[in-house]
Amino acid sequence: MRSFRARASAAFALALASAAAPARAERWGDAPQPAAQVFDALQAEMARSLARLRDGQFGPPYFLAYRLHDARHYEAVATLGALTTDDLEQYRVAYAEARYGDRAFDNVDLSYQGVSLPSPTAPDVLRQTFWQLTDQAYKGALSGWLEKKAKRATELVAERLDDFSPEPPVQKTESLPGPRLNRSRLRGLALKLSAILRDYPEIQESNVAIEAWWVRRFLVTSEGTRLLTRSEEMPDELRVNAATRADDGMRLEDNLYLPLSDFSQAPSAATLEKMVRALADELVALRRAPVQDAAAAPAILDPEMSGVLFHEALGHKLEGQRQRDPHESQLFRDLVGKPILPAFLSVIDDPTLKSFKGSPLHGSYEYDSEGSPARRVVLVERGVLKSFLMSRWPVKGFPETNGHGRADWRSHATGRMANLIVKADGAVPLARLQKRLLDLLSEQGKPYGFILVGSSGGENPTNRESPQTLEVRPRLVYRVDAATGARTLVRGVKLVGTPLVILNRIVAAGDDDTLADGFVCGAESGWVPVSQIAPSLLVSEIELQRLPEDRLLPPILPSPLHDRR
Amino acid sequence: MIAASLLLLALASPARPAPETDAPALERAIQAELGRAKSQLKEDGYPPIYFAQLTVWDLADWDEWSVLGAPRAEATMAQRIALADVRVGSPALDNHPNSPRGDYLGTPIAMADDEFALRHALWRIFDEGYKNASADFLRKQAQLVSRGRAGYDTDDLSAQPPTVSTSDAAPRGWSVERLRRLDAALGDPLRAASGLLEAESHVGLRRLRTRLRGTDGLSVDKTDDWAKIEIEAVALSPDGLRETVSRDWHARVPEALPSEAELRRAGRDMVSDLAELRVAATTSPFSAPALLDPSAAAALVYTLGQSLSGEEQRNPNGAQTFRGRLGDRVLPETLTLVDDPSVDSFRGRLLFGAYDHDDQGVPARRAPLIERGVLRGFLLSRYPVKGFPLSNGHGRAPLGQMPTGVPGNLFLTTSRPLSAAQLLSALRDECRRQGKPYGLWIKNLRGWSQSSGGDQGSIRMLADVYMIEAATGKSLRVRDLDAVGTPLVMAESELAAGEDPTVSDVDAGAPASVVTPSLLLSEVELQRSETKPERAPILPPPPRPTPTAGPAPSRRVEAAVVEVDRYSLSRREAPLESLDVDGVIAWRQTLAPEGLVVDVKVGAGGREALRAAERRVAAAIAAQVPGGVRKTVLFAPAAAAAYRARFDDGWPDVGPR
Repeated sequence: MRSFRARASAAFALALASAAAPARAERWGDAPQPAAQVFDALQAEMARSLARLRDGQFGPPYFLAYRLHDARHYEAVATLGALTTDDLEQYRVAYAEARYGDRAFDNVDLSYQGVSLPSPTAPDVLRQTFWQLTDQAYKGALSGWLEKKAKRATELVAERLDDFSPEPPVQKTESLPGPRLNRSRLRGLALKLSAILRDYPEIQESNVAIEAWWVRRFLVTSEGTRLLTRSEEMPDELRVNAATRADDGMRLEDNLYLPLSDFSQAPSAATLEKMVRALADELVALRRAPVQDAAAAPAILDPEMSGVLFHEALGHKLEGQRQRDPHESQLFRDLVGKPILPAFLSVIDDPTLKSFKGSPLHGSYEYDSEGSPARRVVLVERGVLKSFLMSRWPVKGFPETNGHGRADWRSHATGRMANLIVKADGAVPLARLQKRLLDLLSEQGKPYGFILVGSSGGENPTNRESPQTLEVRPRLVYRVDAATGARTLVRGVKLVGTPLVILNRIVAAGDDDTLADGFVCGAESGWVPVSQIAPSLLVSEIELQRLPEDRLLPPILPSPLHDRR
Repeated sequence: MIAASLLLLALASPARPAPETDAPALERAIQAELGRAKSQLKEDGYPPIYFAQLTVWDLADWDEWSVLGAPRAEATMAQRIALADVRVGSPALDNHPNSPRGDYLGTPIAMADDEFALRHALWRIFDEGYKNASADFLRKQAQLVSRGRAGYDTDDLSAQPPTVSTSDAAPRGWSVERLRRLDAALGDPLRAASGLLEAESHVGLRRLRTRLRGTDGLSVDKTDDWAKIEIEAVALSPDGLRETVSRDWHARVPEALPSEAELRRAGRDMVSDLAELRVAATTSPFSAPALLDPSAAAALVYTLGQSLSGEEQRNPNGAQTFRGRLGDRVLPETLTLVDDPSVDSFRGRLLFGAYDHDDQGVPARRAPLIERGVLRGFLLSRYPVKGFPLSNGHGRAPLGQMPTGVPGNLFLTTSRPLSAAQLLSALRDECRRQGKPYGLWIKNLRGWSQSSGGDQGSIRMLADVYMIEAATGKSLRVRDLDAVGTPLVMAESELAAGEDPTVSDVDAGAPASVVTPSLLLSEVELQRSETKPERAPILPPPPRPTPTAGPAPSRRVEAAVVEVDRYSLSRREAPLESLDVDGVIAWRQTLAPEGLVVDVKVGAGGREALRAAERRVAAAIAAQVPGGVRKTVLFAPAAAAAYRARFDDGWPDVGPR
């Protein structure tokens, strides 16, 4: 099961003003261990392992990779203008993986994971940690290789593909600014934004959370790669969460996620206040909105909803490793060069793209988790399938990585999305798209259609055992009257469907390409940040399903803040 | 260190002094919402609230985790947590659960003194608390209708005049820097030691301020500081089992912290203890008379105390071990068990389980539990037991949980104390009486686990185990065995107790202390430990820097040539005490099934001198083990540089032995 969580909202995808006042920064945790000392320790242990690690008849591993994430984290959470959390921490995660055999046949398969341990950065103890990790990884690789070979003795493998693609080593030591934290400013921002919710008696739960990260990643491989980079996996973020219950007891939630390269890029206080008020107004309006029945009808998906739909319905299914695993649906494995989408649509994934219309993208990176340089890849060109999202695990017809091998701190990298871009030929202005929606309604004789705005995420099974039904949760659903075109905000439904059907019912696109940023995507190799850029899309038929019931009595007494008795 | 200075601020800041000036807005918010809950919070057709207690915990934590003495993570955390105990019905029958709830029920609320935000949070806590209380009350009534009232049942809330009390919240002079230094001092000897697989330590400091407020006027404020130092080190035995040694220290005031020198010594002791444990003998499990030192006896006494909780006597899902046995003899008549949280030290050592008021605001009282072997009372919260209508001030709650009767300071005393020598001789006598060749001596408890629930509950002690030969009194350390048994049967089988009452701190939810002497039991069963064999790392550990403190683990010999020899001692079944011979760079030993194996690395300035050193080693070993010594050369004499290039500080075969 893939899942997907929204952290930002397109409704608030405003240009970020870098108008932050220069503020005093505090020191944040211990001074970072000098990079050269860390590299020396990692390389010394790796060299020792390669030279001497063997077990009876079995020789050394043919490949080793070490990763070390060195992190500082700060979190402030405030409710109604008062802090509930104000925590600082620093920690490190060491990760190692080993390959035994050779490129043509080694121990790695889709379920492969390396080994990880928390570790200090003091060089001697770091070596001790990697000594333990390498030993475990090597033993794991040996037994994995033997088991994989045993399996081949009985199971038919139709395609004999290599297990590891060659890739030239890279070296780069990025010079990173030290960890600096402006704690009082972040705390102040959380306090100020959360206090706005005091004006909304109908909203019973709310908080504003701010998380700041400083993370650097070391990557050393036995092929000679030696990288020190800022870790892309953990953007700073500002989250506003609010929840209430409608009078019928239905729980309603809304949230705003704003990822930031760092907090100096945060929008101005006035802009942020406007965003929080818009969120609160939206939630209050939602309380009064009527409950929507299950329905099938034409609909317009706004750019954020479209982006999430493509992420779920297409993106995950184009991850390279899924084309090799017989347990996966392998929906697109044999369709390269064949049309899979309406001919006016193209899909690209580009981790090298750093910004869109002035906003930074958080699926961007220079080197992926395997140390391969990020590359732009055309997945679908004018409806025709061209490529997959590749790590160094080859797929039939695609012997090399295209820089999409991504993983969290404790996982083995697999092909993943980064910045997914949906492009449409013959895009039309939004007004025409809305007109076409009304036309479709009258053609189909339906009383109403829908406009789905924003998304809080979705889910999507990729294995064969489960039915291939995906779901995407819109933040707001408007019902559009076929006769008058009037819109009514409704609540209590989500979008469901099967990928091929829903994608091929896309009939037109708007010219409003918009960035939906701040999502994190979860799969076998962990949670990684992703972005989508997509236009509004008109779909000739979508299915809306009721949300699960969660009804409780509203509070008995009025809120103490608004108790007029 | 930003983290350090911040915590000092949090702990030392006048932001959390005495309650009057402490948090006036919190106080106003509590009173306002407690008042609204009592007078207005009611749904038609449902009973109103007759009593409610609100507990607010303010905690400020600092923690550091280290591997081999080097810090790997650090965190500072502050939180304010609220929990409401809302009662509907009447003291005779209310919504209080029949079986104690062990789940976390706290809600984080605003830390700042912000009346607006605090009232909002408390409003929601009381709303939810009241709705759940109404539903629970009706369900409980429904159960009574269908099942009737148990004979042992009684009221649900005992009468208690509301206490008003505040405690000093002044800073107590903790220093995070000092804790950091203590952690480093403890880790130093471990970092320098070779042959360790893992060593992880944790130092933590918590300041907890607890506020109790009730609709009856209850108002108690308490402040507790708690510093903790914990360490665990692991080495692999020659047969691939993880051998663990661990230690911990707790302090409520900075003066009670151990010194750096003490910790360095403790670290060194752990290293040598582990070296001894790795090569200790193994044997199949058996049962035998056993002597429990005070640390092991404390586990037994504590679990006994837990089953004397008032809640346990009425818990339909519990064992109810002592229900209906009041006035019966449940222990040998030489033993008396009392719990007294109002005593704050024993022989100069501060007691971890001491307090003034429990978590229901009841003053701590001495509770006689077992007098001369006869059951006399229970550990009571405000949930009464038939015949005991009042609390004795033992209702305590772990953070974010509901209070129950639990031990504070348990004192087990004997009317016939024996000296250590008398106890050991009594152990051998008992072995001979039972016809057992060996008795057991269980020492230095590292921890214990308990299975609880419907059965009587069994206890498993992780500790050092020694076999004492009945005939000779000789002792032999064994490993990978745990002592197991059911607490009541074990306690009933007590034959004698020592004159060595000692304090053990217990960190199991609510802090507690146990003061008990050594206990001689007529039978204790051993069980194999849970560790599964694993293969030793293939390569030796990476080289370590020369230690900065403490004795060097191996001698630095200015050697030009090095040789490594293996001596197989087929008749030797115990490890060597020492190998203090000139020219020995390092040595190690393994107690293998075929006998003791000793590897010795010798070095000297030249080949002649090397041969002389080798002869000295052979003579020293032969002196300790007459006959049956076989020597193999693992690394033939060669230049020291050649050796280092191949093995660093390691040994020339696969894996440490």
